[in-house]
Amino acid sequence: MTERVLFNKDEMLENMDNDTEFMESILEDSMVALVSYLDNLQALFARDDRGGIHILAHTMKGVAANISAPALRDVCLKIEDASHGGDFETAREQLPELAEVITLTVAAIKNSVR
Amino acid sequence: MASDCTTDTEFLKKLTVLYVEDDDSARAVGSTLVSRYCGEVLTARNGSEGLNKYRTHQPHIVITDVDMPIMDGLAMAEEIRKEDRTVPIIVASAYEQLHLLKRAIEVGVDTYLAKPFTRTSLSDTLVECARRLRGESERRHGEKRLLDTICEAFRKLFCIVELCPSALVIANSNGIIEFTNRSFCTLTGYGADEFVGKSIAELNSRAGLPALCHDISATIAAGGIWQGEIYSRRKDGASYWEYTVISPLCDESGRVASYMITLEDITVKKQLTGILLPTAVEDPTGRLAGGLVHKLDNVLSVINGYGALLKLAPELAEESQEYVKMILTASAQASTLTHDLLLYCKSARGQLPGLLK
Repeated sequence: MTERVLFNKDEMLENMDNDTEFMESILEDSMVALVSYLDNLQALFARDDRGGIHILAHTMKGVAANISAPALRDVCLKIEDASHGGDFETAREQLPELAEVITLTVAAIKNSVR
Repeated sequence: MASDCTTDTEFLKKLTVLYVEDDDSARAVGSTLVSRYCGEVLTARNGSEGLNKYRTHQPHIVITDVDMPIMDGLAMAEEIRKEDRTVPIIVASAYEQLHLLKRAIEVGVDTYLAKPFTRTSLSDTLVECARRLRGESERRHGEKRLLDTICEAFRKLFCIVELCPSALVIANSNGIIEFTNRSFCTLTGYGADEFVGKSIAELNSRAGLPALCHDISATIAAGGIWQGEIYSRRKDGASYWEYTVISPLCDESGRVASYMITLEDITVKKQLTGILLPTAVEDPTGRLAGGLVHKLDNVLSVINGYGALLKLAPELAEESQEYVKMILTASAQASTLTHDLLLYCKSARGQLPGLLK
């Protein structure tokens, strides 16, 4: 886990046209959204809403990419790929790791922009 | 849109971009970044909404995500392409979806932008679209300027032909009359459209000379120029002599594209040569007078003709226009004098008509 990059601030700042204020507003919105998405994803697994799982995993992957959070993006991609292939058991197995990476990523972001 | 910008980046600042993305966060980031390079950014949350906004606002560039609810980005792109073959459509999606590239190409998407955008990849893609649009805009303006120039040249040409002192008729390659000018109407008494749609043969059959018509048809069918004197008839039935020239106008390949027919009233000349000459032969004074009138008439034709053309010149100063008007007035008076002189010449008693007294 320690080898993975949780948040690449320089890359995100570059992608945000070096606009720190804009980057921070996006990070703030994204952190709230990610926590909310995790709850929603768990609910979708509980309901076995397979279509919903795939769409939400795809969305979370997009958010992770936007904020230059490669570790989170990789976990989301695993869930998206597994659900796309109909392997929902593998997708479900990623949930604990997803929760952990979200917590670590949020912490890394807060630490980085403090 | 006028392309008066010196750079593609400046041109991009005047363009409207439609940004279609279902994810709120990605849409906020994408649209904010796009707005830094473009004039206006419209956003939509799915393909269906994007299509509606496209139809309502007609943006210059469309950027769309692929996976979206209700209607995906490629389906929207396909619909837009049916309505507009030129608007640049950029598909923005993650690397994992590169397999969609084939379908994107099939529906006519212009380019593919990998998400998340980097500042460079986004600005490069947008500037490239602006370059293309600017080029098209400049080409369209160039074509419009050329068309305007051609139209203006045609307008001038039409004025010259319409106001030309000679009677002119234009017929197509089948000998069907397409145009008659004002002088034709003055000469023949027929309205501007009365001969349009009729054949050249009908034009020349006013005098009721079928044999002559056959000769004309045979000559022009062979690509030759027919010219000759016709004892013709005006619409009111009055007879007069006209000198007719029928010239084929050929296209680049040498084929006859149309015919130009000029008609000149030569009644006065015919009277001079046919009636005055016998008098002139008998009387040296009559011979001299007849010759003078003939030469004077030729000079006046030149003055009248070029004067009328000069009057049409748009660059002519107001003062010069007055001079031309005076020349034409004097020339008209001189024409009256020649006619009076002709009457004098014809008069066996040698009595002077009113103006010459």
